[in-house]
Amino acid sequence: MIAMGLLSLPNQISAVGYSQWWLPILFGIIANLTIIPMIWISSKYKEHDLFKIHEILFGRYVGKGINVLLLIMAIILMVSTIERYLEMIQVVALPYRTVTGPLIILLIVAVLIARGGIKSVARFCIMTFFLTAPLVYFLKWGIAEGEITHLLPLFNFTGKEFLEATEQGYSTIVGYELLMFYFPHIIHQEKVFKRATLGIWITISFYTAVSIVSVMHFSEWQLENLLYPVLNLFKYVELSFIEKVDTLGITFWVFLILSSVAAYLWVLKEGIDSLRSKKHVAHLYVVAAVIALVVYIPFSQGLEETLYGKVFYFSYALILWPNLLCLIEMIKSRKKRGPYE
Amino acid sequence: MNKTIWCLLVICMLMCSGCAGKNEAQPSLEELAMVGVIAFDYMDESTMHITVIAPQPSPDAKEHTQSYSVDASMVEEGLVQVSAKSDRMINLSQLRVALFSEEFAKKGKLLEVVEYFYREAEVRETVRIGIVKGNAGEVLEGDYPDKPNTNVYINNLMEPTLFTTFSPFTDLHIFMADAKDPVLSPTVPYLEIKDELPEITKIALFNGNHMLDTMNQEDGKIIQALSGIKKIAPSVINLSEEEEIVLKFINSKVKLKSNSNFDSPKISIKLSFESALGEYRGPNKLATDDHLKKLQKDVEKKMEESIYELLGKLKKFKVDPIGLFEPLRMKYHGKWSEDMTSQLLEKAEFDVTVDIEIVNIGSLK
Repeated sequence: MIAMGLLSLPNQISAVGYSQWWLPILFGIIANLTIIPMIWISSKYKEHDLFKIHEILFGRYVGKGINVLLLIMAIILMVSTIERYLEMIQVVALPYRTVTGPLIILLIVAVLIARGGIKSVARFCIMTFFLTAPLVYFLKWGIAEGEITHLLPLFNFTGKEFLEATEQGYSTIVGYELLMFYFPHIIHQEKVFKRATLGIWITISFYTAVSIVSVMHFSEWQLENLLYPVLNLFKYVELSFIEKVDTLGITFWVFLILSSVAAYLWVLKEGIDSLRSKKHVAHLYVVAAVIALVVYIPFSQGLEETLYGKVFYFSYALILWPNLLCLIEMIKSRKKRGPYE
Repeated sequence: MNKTIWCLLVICMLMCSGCAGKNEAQPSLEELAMVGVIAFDYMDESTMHITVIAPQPSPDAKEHTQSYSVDASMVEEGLVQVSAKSDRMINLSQLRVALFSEEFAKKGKLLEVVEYFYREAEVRETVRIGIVKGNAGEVLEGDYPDKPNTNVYINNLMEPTLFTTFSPFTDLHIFMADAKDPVLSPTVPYLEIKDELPEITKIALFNGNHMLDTMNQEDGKIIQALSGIKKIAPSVINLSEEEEIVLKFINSKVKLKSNSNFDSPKISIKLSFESALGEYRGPNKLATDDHLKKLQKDVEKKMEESIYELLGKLKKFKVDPIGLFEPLRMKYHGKWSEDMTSQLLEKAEFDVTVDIEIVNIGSLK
């Protein structure tokens, strides 16, 4: 779940000003509610992932059509994540350089992770968690130079500002909808809800910590105008033996990027597998090549902005999608039962 | 077999990296001039005079500091020009201090430059800012024979120590945060060259971006204490003609309270110090409890007076470097604006109580 989102979170939800610090908790509650239909629909079809469920529920051709749409959107989502990260790497760590090299290396590593199947993606995610969680320590400097009084007042925003912040900010925690794709691979399927809840709240606690410290450390103007407030928090760290912690932090961030890119890559591969009805490793390479190509296509600035800026609506749709699926599933099962009664 | 090939490959990769061609974008450390201090002087509306100094690593050079200066309209342009003069490439990632001349700050150009530094990912946010009376470049080009290296010297000078806490030691982040915060306005240390040595003598008051005036060290200490700094520099308090006392502050606490009334705001300020007696000159004996208590009372009264005096000055300048209205903002719904702060400051009433506890008088009766 954590990727580029966290870096710019305090900026994304800055529409509500200083009152933003409790918004992540609200997001956590929404996320927790929305995984219920996901798990419900998935546990109806224990053996199948979402691609297959589409085919079962909508019929072969409509289902495949939906899957194709899904794949295209997922590719755009990935491209936007990778491109934003590379852009930042260029700003922070590699000024005066092109990002072709980093792009290729990033994709090669992601492909290698995804090639091992969902198990290796999961293992990489666990490793990432333990490697990057200690970065929270660096928030200490932000707290030292901050005003706790900024946390009040609690509800200083209008309804419009609140909606804007939610709309922008919720995009930072999407990613848990992938649950519907790897559900068939989970061993203890009955414990999924408990564990997913735990996962969400661990993430939310990081998010809340970051936004509280940002509110304390920055003024409202900075929250609105800094592109990557977390980067600025890193830059404020003073250690006697390391000069630039921000470079270290941002390069560590590659683990977070890799874990989400690898997960999406794996989903894309599964998607193509189900589309062509046969499993093949080459699908993975094709997907990676397509992504590299899309990163390279020089879209006009305007198109790029609308494309990458609006792509998170797709994630929202995907998160709400299971509700519809549940409805269809209920109608279908009732119809089936109908004649016997 | 396979292993041997891998080993050879790795060895080759390690060895061959030494044969890589020269890369202009990423020069080696010896080819970089790590700028430590940069100074800006006002020339006219569109040009500024930039002076930079970088340490000279070569032991063969006579001077340990390299200094360059150019005229430019933009910072980046200036740096490119300096690179043309210098034998090495200018790099800002080791920048520690940025100095500005008083004229530069009074013309309101400071924020432009600070914003440039703030935007540049290379520059750290802990770069400290200082205002220099007269010419800022002179501080860098000065000759300090008893100091190891001008870079280190100025950096250490701008580093906060307990005895210099009258000065705010503003860095890029704090300046940016305060200048854009409608509740606050920034303060910056003010340097003067005295006997050929730079010295932090006062603090400069800003109204948003424009420098207004300076305040003396005593006022600076009070501002620091009121904005919540725990350790304050020792302070001389003049009680009367023949009575004088130096207090060393161990801990200070400040509490701001408001009456939540926006039409007739009243802010009560409670400042409590834990302190040790440093030096005393006067008729009383210190060892007795009564005298010590009387002394505490006198000092409290004196401090309250000087705080009222400071608040009066701030009212006159119409700026608030302390954040006096933060308790009101905490209860306010809606957007806070700079006008509100100045309006509130105009009508606000203050109620100051100082509480001083002298916990020890040293090891002599």
